Amino acid sequence: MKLWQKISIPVSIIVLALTFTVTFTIIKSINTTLIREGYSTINPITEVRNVIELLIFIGMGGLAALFFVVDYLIVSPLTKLKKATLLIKDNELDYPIKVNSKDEISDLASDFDLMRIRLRTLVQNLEGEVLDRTKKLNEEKARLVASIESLHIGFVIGDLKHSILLKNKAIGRIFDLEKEEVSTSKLTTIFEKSFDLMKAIQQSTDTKVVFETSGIVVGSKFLRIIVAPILIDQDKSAVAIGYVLLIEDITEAKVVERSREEFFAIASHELRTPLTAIRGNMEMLQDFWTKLKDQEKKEMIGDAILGSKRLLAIVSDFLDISRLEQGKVPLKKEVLDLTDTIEKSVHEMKILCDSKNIEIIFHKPELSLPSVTADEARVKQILINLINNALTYTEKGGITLSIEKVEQNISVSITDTGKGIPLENQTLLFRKFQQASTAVLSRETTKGTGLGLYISKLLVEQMGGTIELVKSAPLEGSTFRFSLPISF
Amino acid sequence: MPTKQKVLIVEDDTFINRIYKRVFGLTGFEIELAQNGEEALAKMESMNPLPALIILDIMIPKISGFEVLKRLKGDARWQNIPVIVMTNLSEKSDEEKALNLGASLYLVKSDHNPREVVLKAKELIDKHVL
Repeated sequence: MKLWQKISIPVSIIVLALTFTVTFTIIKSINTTLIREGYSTINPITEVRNVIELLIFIGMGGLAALFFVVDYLIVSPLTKLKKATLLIKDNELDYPIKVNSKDEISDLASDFDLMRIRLRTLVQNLEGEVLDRTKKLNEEKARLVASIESLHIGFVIGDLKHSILLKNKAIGRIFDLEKEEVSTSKLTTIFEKSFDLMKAIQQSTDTKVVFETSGIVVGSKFLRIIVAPILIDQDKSAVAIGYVLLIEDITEAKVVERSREEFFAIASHELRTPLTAIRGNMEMLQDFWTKLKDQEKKEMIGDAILGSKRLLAIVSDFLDISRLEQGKVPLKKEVLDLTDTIEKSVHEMKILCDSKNIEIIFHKPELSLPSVTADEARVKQILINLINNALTYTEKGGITLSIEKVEQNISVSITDTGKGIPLENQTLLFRKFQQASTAVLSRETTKGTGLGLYISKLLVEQMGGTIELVKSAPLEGSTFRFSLPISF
Repeated sequence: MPTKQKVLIVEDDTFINRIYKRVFGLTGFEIELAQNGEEALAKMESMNPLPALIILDIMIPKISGFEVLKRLKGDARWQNIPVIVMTNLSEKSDEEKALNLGASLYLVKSDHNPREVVLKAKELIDKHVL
């Protein structure tokens, strides 16, 4: 039954009411005729009242019926439909929309339901696609993060306020940070300490081009960096919102390059200097023999001899290095009480220290310490080298030696009150030809070949030990320590 | 007898500066010695009369010989004084650098007899005086 058929019922009631009205009119006209003909009339008032009562009764009933009918036929299905659409609005697409009225509203409802089903399919497809894409994105991200993490070069993404948004593990290694120290704030602090690095980042984000340089020094590290600006389109022009920073630690390469470059120049210089002393004095003796006083001649011969000794020392340093580097130095395995060896070395160096007014003290331990297995002559060589260095760079104060057992090692420390070693030179200290002052051309040539610490390191390592600079501060002095394993 | 001409020797190695002090002394010069770059420049400020010649080493403490040379040649009071760079740095690049900075001669110490160095120095002083 269609809606119009249903509506026809109240309509028929209204038609009925109209019929009564017409009836009333007709009765009225009949009464007119009856009066004219002399018959008693039908009381229209009564009749009309009857009719009105009847009409009211019928009207009320009709109205109620109409209400129920309209409610049943239209409002109720529409409410159902409304609820269903509200559910759809809230993304609830799983509840079927069902209206059993079998009219246009139920048709509409079933059309709605069809729409719901299609919408649900669409949403499900979309959700599937989103899940799929998210998964792919996550995979992509994992691959990217793994790639960044596996890089041996440091990787940082930062914003313009120098907040660090992403970084990899290599950064920690490059800046010697403990795992928990690789925090954003720590890195920001490190970066901000390097004016050159900040300038490079600034330059790249300002000019919006990739900037590359090998000339960055942070602490004791030489760094090669590449800064790439992160650009976005804004009002048809590129705007930098941050940067990607790649950092490579090239300290080792730099040192090798420097050593190689300087090796021949310095080696030749170091050999030529004592040779000049020998040759110069000899030729002068030859050229000016008659003009020179005996005392002068004696001094010049003495200088030539000292020159030849210095030459010999340098040549044997070179030979030592070459043999030690190839592991060809036979080291004796003597059981040593290092306390004795230190005493002997200190005794040997005392005169030299006294001549410079530098006090040398050895804090001898109260109890004897376990012995080590090492080559005594070589241990003495290391000790004398360390004391000599301390003496060279100390103008006033003293040199203190101490010995202690640390785990399975005997450690010997040599502390001076000298001028200290600048931070940037500390990593290079145990390299060939390195001295406490970096600038090659203002090297204090008379103060040694710059090979002592390198030789000491090679020797200590070949005896199974370690050597290190424990601490050093400008004008406060330095502490070096070497350790040798206790004999079994 | 005319006053002795002065030679400023800038050399930190005691063995070598003893040789040059001696040989220039024996050949009639008065010697001033500076053991590092800083001292060399200070001596230049205080020397009166100025030296007729400067013997300058490169690898010296505090201020390198190249820097001393640059300052000598950049100062109107000193730029005309001949400078012999005497070093044991035998690299060609070092020689070029020294000559470009205005050194009159670049001599590798170990390759020269001290007496010959004095002869070269005299030649330079004479040329300069003329």
